[in-house]
Amino acid sequence: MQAIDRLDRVIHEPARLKIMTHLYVVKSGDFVYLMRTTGLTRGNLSSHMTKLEEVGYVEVIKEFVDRKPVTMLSLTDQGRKAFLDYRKNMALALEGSS
Amino acid sequence: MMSESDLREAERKTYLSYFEDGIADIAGGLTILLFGLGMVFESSSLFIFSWLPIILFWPLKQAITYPRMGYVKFGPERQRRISRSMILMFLAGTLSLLLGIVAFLGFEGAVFDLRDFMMEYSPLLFGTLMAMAFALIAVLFEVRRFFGYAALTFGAWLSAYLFDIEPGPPVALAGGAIVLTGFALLISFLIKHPIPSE
Repeated sequence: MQAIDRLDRVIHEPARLKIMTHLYVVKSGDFVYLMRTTGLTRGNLSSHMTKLEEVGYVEVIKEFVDRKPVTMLSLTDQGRKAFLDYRKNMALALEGSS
Repeated sequence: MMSESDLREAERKTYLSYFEDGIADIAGGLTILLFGLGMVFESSSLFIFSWLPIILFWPLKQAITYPRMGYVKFGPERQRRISRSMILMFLAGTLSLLLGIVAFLGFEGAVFDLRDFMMEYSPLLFGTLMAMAFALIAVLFEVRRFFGYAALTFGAWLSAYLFDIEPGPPVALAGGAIVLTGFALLISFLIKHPIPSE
């Protein structure tokens, strides 16, 4: 049961877990990529991204791709570690309950 | 809970989703089609323009794929793989070009005349080169359907050699079939992935 208590509540929310998972498998992606892969609307995604940015899990990088400004989103080192910890604790919690 | 292999598979699926648009198929198929038509009509300009679709590949990706799929930068492992693939493709292209130049100039005083040899077996050589290009894309970029295109183009050249017919029509047909497959993929892609609304 201790593993359940250790679950990161910021990541545990399903929409944010989707965002974290899809950002974890790439280096960075833009809003369209995340909208497509998570199925969230732009507004919904934006509010969850704000939350993840506040806790330091996600960073926003403005860059130019083919002379067009693109907002790229990426997991920070802290975010990657938090995601790995979350997976580990979830696995322990599931093992403990079986 | 997602295991490490699930995450790797998710990354692979994300990567492959950028090839669902059929643009590479259309570009590759048009090149073969124009090359084949160049032989049918004995037109040097068609041979020259046969490379044009490859130049259009990136602008089409920018206009069609990225607005629908979004921009993604892959992790260092995938980036290394893509860079290695690009280098290998460049080396394969350079080697093919060198082979062509050697065949064109010929080796004087060589044990056997390479030019004569290449003229004799030109359908098989061209077929092998084109099939290798498709197979290389299939292996390096993990797009398995390109193995089918490799077999199709090699089959077209092989049939010309075996039945002693002009290679132009079968090669153009093979190119046309690849282009049609590409367009079918593109239409399916456009239906499946509309541009997201604001």
